Amino acid sequence: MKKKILPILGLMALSLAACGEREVTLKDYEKTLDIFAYKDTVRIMQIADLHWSMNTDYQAEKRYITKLVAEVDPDIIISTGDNVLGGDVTTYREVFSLLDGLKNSSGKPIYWASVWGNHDRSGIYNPDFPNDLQLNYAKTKDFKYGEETKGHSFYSSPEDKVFGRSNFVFSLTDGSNTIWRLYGVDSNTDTYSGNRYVYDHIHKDQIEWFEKEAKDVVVPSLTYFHIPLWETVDAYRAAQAGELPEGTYGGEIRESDFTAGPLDEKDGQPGVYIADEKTNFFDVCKENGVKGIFNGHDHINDFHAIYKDVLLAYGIKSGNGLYSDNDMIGAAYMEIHKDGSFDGRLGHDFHHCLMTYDGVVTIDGGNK
Amino acid sequence: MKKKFNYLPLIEAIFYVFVAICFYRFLWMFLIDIGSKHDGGAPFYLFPTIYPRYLLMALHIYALFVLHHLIRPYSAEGRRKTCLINGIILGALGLLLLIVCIVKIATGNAPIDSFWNISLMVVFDCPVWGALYAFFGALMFFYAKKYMVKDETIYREKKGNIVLRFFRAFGAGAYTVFSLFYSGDFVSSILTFDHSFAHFWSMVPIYLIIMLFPASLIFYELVYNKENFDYVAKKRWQLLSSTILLGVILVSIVWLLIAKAVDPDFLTESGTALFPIEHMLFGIPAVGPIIALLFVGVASCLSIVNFIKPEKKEEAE
Repeated sequence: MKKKILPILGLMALSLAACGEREVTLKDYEKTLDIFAYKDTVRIMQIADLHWSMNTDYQAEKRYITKLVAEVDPDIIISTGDNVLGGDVTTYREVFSLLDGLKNSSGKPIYWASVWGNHDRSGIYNPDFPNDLQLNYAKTKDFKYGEETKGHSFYSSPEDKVFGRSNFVFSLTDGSNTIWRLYGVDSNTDTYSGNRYVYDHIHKDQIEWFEKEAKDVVVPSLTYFHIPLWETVDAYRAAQAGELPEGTYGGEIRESDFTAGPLDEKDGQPGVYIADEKTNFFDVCKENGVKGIFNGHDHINDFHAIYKDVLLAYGIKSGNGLYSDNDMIGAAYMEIHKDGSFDGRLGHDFHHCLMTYDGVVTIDGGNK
Repeated sequence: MKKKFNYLPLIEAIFYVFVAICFYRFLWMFLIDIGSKHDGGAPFYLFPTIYPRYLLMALHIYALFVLHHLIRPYSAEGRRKTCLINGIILGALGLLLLIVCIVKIATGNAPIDSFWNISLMVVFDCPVWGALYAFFGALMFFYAKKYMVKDETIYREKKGNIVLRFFRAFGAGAYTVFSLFYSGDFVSSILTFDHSFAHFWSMVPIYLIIMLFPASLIFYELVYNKENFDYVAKKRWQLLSSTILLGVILVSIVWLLIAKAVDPDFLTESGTALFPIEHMLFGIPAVGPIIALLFVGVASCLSIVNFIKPEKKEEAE
């Protein structure tokens, strides 16, 4: 009898041990792709603010995104959030199944991930549904370039205590060494200011996590999130005041309204829907090898500037969901190189591909 | 004699739930259509494409009110007039919807997803509902015309003067429309959510508060507005229902305060889908539940005070 009980007790002890909370390590946020073993230049496309909803004509939007991808021909796609607003599970499935099925001109799968915007949980589904759905496409830890896997997302969302969900790292290697890193950071949704909603910011513990990740592997990197930093306004003001050299900034701020943040004076403020708090995230990025910071959120802003040696840029809204300007929809894309170089100027390694639904395409503001 | 089961309130309840789900989803569509103020959107940019959906939603709500008046008329003559007048209106609006949809489809102005892609019947649900309302409207009118004769039977007395009655009807209608949204919100949550999401236990009091809307309507219909009820039994039921509602309110508030203390971000993390009106239109959190708390709370308190009052009089005597 004792002999029978002992293995059962052992199993029970093992089960109990397994129930204990596993410590989340920096590696849990990371996925890798050995793309630099095959290519010297990698093209990354940023899509932004799709805003698909229950009213969306999915077929028309899919045609648009597919054509946009064919124009840009990227290796990697990152969505900076607000993929869906007022959608249901079908809407979200349509977005992610589209992204996961894309291939580049050489027939290789396009690796992709989405950070969350402030609206991604605003729909008729379980609030964790977008996160769980993307995790279904993100089961591969180490991608081998060109190899088919079940899902091509490099999203991670470990069961951690760090605020937000889309805090992740994508390491691009040459097979043995990491050459570049792409960071996704959740800029969160809303927070209360008095009795009103205002846009949330990247929280302190997220910045601490980011710093640990960046110090762990010191390589050039790009960072993606949704809600603009206060530095976007600082950079715009500097550009307006002629403090930035010619050729290091461009684009427009067309939004006519603004939210909290540094915008305490009512007149002449740029229309930037900004985070509620100034954080040290920009400084931490700059100190840790980040060459470019990209956000979405403001549909009709495409301002970009090399500010304090870092490219700080809006993405281009990818489609006409919710509201848009027809001459400012498409995608932004950048090229990063095996030698670690990246020129943040528009038309060099950073580009705008503007494409209307009629198929009219311009690159970097000029005709293709 | 075995009492015949009255299935009409059950039909009304089922139709109420259906309209509530439609209305919740419609409000999402509407908010996207007007472009949220929160995001500075362009108003009604989808309207030219999806206006049949607006008409259908109006028809659903109108049909719910008609059904309620048919089930609970003041008099036999009132029921006949409801059939005659509302039959014409419902039928005409249904026919209009049907024609509009046919024209849109025939002219190629109705892309497959433009009406409402969550519907099982996809593009055909607007015309199908249009045809159904046209049919039932006509049926009501002709049935009343042929089979219903003038009858002076009074089922229940109209209380108060015409101005008071107007405002009472308007208030009840507005409250019902308001509660339709939150009932749809609640039912949709049950249908689409499970308990696995991160802040579920913090969100429980929010669901309880939202549930106050349909609960208050049910208690109103089953207890307060019931005519053939013994006076003492009615008073006791009023006390019981008010106590239940107040209990739910108190539990919810305490739970909410604890949730806020231990999980301060739960509402923005998991609640934005529940409050699209507040979130997108006003930028103020949870207006609806606050209204529910105040309205149901005050009404329940008044009901309990009313229950206690006569006893005091009796004691004085």
